[in-house]
Amino acid sequence: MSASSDPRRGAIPRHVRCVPFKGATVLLALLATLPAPRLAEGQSLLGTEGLGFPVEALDARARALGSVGVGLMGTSLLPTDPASASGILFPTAELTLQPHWGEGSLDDRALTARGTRFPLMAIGYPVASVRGVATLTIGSYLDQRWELTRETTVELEGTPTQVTDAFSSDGGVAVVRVGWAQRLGDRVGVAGGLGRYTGSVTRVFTRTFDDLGGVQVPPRYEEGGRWGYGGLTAFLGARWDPAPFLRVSGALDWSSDLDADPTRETEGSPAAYDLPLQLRVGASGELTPDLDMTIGLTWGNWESSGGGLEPETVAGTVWSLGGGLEWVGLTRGFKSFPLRVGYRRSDLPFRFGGEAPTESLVSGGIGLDLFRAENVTLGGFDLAVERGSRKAGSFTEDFWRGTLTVKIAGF
Amino acid sequence: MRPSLLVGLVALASWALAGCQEKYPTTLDGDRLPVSPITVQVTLPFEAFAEGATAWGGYGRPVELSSGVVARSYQGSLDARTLVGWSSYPTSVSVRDSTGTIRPDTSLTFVGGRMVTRIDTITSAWDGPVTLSIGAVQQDWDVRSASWMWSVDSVGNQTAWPEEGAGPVLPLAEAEWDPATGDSVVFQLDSAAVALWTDTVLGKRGIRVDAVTEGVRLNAYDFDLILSVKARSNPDTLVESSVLPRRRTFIYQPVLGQPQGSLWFGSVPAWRTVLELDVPETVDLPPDICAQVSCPVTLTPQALVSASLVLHSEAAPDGFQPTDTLRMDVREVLEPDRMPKSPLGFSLVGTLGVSVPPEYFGEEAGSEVLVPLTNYVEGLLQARNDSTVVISSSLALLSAFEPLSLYLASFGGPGSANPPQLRLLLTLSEGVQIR
Repeated sequence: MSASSDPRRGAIPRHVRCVPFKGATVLLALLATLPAPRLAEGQSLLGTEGLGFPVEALDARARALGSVGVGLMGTSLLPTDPASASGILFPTAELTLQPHWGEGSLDDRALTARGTRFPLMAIGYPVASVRGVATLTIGSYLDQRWELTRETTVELEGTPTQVTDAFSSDGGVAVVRVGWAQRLGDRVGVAGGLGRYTGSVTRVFTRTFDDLGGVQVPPRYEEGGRWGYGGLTAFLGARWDPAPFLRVSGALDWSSDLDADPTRETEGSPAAYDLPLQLRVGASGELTPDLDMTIGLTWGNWESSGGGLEPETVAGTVWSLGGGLEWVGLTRGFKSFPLRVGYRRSDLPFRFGGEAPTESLVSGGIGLDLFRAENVTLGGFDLAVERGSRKAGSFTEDFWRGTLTVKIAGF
Repeated sequence: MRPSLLVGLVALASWALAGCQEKYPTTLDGDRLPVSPITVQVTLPFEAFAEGATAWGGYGRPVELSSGVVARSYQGSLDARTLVGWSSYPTSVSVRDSTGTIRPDTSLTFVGGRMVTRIDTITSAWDGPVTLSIGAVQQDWDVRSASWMWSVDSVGNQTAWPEEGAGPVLPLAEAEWDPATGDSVVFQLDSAAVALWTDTVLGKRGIRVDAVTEGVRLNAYDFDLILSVKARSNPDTLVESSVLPRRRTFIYQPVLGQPQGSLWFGSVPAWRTVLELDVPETVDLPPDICAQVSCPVTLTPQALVSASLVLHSEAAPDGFQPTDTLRMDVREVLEPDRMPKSPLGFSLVGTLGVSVPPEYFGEEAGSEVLVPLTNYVEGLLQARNDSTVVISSSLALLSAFEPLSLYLASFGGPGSANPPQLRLLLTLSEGVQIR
């Protein structure tokens, strides 16, 4: 929710008086110093396959509602719903961070994962004279941080010697998008823009010799390299409010090949990957004056690519369906504290052990509008907590994921 | 901002950052590793990686050691004697006169004394109580060049002892050292003996310390001469006054000749061994490995995991058996053509060197000693394709602290039953790819 009179409905306030938000400058400076979104922290063992683990650039409100990131009431700076930004009236910035904790098992072996990432940073700047909004978003796309280890023995001139192998992948792919969202009347908004895939991955194999008699320091073999990612993306989006209680939105993402080029010091080969065309549609409706419902769907078709993804790696067409309820009956003065619940089920694009993985989760959350000027939210938080599970063959994983979005506007 | 709001924000931030302690998904399922490198160990015989080995002696002098050495027929071979020259006697002592006042008195009579030395019980070799003797040296000697044969052996001045082994001496005293009672040996001296060294020339000649008991080799420290002095102002009182040794060295026989088929380091004057390396460009691997990789395998810095020089200890020459741990240093010989005076590079094995226990040169002769040379060999391999890498192919094996002792380390050399080897640990891989 950003600077609009009613965060659910995107209506335009008639008379807005801005109250300077003293903390805005501080928050903005803090935002500027944060690192670019890293898909970083090992999200799941599923990330060891294909291009990694997909991480959507969603904010806490979308997460709490089980949304696929499109068709939510109100305004947002979600790259998954570019037309939603058309309702923004004041310069707005958002930062989302996301801790997670996971526990799973593979062939009865226990696994754990935890970390924090910054899946989305976004800025929207309205140009009132043309009723449009310029947007800049930096969002996560693929998480490639993981590590595998193996303890084994090698024969050295007939002597079994214990070694520990480790393979680590550190990095990921993010997307920087610039766009324009245009209001067309009070009920329609359209958006479009371009973006660039960015990021890098460092892949390192190490073999440590744990038991070499007579050698003071155990020797270690290490090889690896670093690849930088590049590619283009373009997006289109539209929203339509056919009635004051109903919204329908859609977005289409096109991507060029994702190129992975080795750095000068890296001996590995370059690679190129086909990225899928992705379509998102969603809708929200008002069930009662205080209760909204949202539902959304995404579709993407992942394909193999020569020199990149093997046919047996990609899952092909993947769907994701999610939705939830938002109750805005909890208020205090001019402030509202929307409560949200949701459910979502998703296919994941890369097979694990030959099996197509799925993810399902239930979610809940709350919004906290800390700074409001008349009817406009100038600063606040959205908080989401998700409990989910993933499954692919003998691999199962349960996880908790929190999402916190900090918003400031009117700076 | 209200306090409750601030608390809430802090709690929220703490929760959000709670996952910052990263833990990656990890499994012991090795089948998922994207690479499958092969590790193989290759041991190259001496002729496959080196062109030769040369021993060089003459580094340092006995005077540079912190102890003297006394030996008699140790291991049926070694005789060693320590020479100690005294500083000048004191010219005054402070005594209490008849009025009870302490004042210096320069009218002194030396009525006797004792010489005290201490034995290093860790590095010495003995078998029961040991009888030692001291005698007054009759000839001037040069502390830097004195040897068993020569009292002075410097350029333009070579003077032999009248009797080999710094003889003859004027016998002064004998003492028995019982290791069970401590590490000190006390030689009682009569007035004639201490009067001898009032002459500074004779004092400078000092004493020769001998072992009377056969089959021992002792390292002796702290040769202190303690005089009993009577002052004219208080003739009823004996005062003790110490005389410090002015100089000390030791002489020994036999002198070691050039080693035959052995690599030496240590002793004093110290020995060093210089190896001329010629690491091959390729190595052959066992057939089962060659079934997986293309043979012969080219040695590259990338494939090299570790390289170790493998030495096998052997019994040291009689009399020079180590009795304490030796530490071997390895350094590049920067200008091999200038040996034995070539400057050496930095240590390749660290300041303390490679530790070698003394048993390896006695009852455990034939033990394997690994000298880690990974970085050095990697440098040799890099230098083949990178002209900016300058590295010498000559390596010197020497004592980390030189000179350290009379004893030395001996290893099998080229042509011996246990020649040096170069052990390479290679990991062969097709490289990490992005997928």
